[in-house]
Amino acid sequence: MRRVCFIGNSHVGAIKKAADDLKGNGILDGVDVSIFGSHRGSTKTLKISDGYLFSDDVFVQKNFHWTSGGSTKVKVSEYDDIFFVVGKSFFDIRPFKAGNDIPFISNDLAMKIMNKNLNAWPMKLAERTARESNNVQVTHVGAPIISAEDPASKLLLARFNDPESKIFSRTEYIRTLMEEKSAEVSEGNFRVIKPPTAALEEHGLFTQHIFCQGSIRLTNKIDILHPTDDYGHMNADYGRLLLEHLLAQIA
Amino acid sequence: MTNFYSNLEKSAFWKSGLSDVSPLNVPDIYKKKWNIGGNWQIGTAGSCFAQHIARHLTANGYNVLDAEPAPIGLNLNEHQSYGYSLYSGRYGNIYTTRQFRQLVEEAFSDAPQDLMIWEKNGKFFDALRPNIEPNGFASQAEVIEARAYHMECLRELFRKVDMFVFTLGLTEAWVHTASGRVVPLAPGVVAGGEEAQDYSFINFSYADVVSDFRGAMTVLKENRTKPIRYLLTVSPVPLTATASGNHVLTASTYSKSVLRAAAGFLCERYGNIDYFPSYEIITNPAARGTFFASNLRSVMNEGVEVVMKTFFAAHPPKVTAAKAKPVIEGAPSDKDVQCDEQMLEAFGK
Repeated sequence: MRRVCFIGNSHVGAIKKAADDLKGNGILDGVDVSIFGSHRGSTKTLKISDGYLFSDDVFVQKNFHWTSGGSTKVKVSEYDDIFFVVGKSFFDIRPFKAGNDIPFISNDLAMKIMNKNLNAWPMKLAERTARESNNVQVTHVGAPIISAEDPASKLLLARFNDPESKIFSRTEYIRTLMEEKSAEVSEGNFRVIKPPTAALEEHGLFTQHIFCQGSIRLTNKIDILHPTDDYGHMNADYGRLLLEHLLAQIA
Repeated sequence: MTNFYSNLEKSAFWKSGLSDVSPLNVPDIYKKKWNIGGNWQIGTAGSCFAQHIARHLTANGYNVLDAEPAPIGLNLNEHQSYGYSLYSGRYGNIYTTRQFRQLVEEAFSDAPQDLMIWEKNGKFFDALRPNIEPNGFASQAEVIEARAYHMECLRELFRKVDMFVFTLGLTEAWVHTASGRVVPLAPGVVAGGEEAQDYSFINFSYADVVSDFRGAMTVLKENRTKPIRYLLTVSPVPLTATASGNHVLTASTYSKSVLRAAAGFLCERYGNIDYFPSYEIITNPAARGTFFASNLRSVMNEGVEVVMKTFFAAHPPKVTAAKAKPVIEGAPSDKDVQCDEQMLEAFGK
């Protein structure tokens, strides 16, 4: 049995729903999924010490207890794989946006922007977890990339309709730099991973809006939806795609 | 008995217009030609003093364009060092009207441009804006791509603006002998030391300054579909160094005099050009140099405030004081305008 743990904020809700839906259909055979979630920035209080990932914040402890089904802290060595579903995805294009465009960004500037994300606390927490537990594969997944229907996403995507624009090549250049950097930082038992391609729109920049519709809040009152203008949370279908994508990586 | 001076305003006399009034508020020192419309899109460029004007206009509700904004992921406190958020484009300081003219010409030219790339320690610099990438570009191809994108943004900016605020800074420059193009910084200051023999010194005359500005105006007019206005100022910041062979004080006086005369002529000659006297406000003898910092060059915040107070008395803020944009933490402030000619000080004796 492969023991897999997801740690994150509200975005683990989609994974939890998908994992529940997938029970009994074979996809999760041989995999034991645990989920530890707590809302918004409360996960920022997480720390790792003596092989445990935990928070001194009672709010987080309560949420962990509820989402995991009884544990207030994560015993890292109990898992084969730990996925962090919190913070910005390393592959999110938005930090490279300027206005409604992807500008030309030099190698040096791109490194600076990528390093900012790599030095942010969710990534650092994942890295520290990996360092403390050499036998556990630690992966930073990050939050889902925002929906293609988000107004800012739409404005950017509209630029791709201009055949004169060089936004294609500029975006490709940034993607190449991201690939190189992600390979560089993914060493030993730590790695950053892309979101599932099938979940993204045709340019691979944003999540297809279909995966944003009907997303469930991370609450013990089941089936309460996010508002319709919430473009950041994804639904159980996205959770399923993500689960399949991540499990394929560890198979 | 009356004479030609009998009925003039107080501001026409040195005593009543200047020595009897506070240098913090010199009445009637600026008489605007026109009002700035609330919906006008404003462009800014020039020497580093123009950065003050750009910031204060933005903070007070004027629509100052940023055609080349920084990527979201770049920290605010790093915008300046990468040439962002200084002006309406990522062109760095434009000290001379020749630079302004060649930039406008390049933006609208279909002809292939001479590459002006400097190399230093395996990194590459755009000689026409050497300070926008502090660590240099990784390759010549990057410089070319970045410049192409810059021009794309500038075409949009130059077509959009209703008013361009331009601060004339210097007359001294370094010209690339083969192409005739000037660079903002002497080769070797940031990079380009190896190519120094390809450049020669030039000190632009009054006629050059006027002609270059007119040249830029012509190109803009040819490529735009709506009228444009210009608001000229002259930087009160003296030269940090001169390559003219003269004493830096006489060289500075020459340079500022030429620029001031050119700005005055352009303002008198053209209805769409106004001159705002920031130079006079800062260098006003009544201020006794108190607007300058201890290096006798940098303008203190107090001086900038007097300049802007005078400006906004004529062109009132477009927002109430309560709604003026707060200074964002980490954002550049008046204290840290990017004056790259200050680098010359490092070479000073």
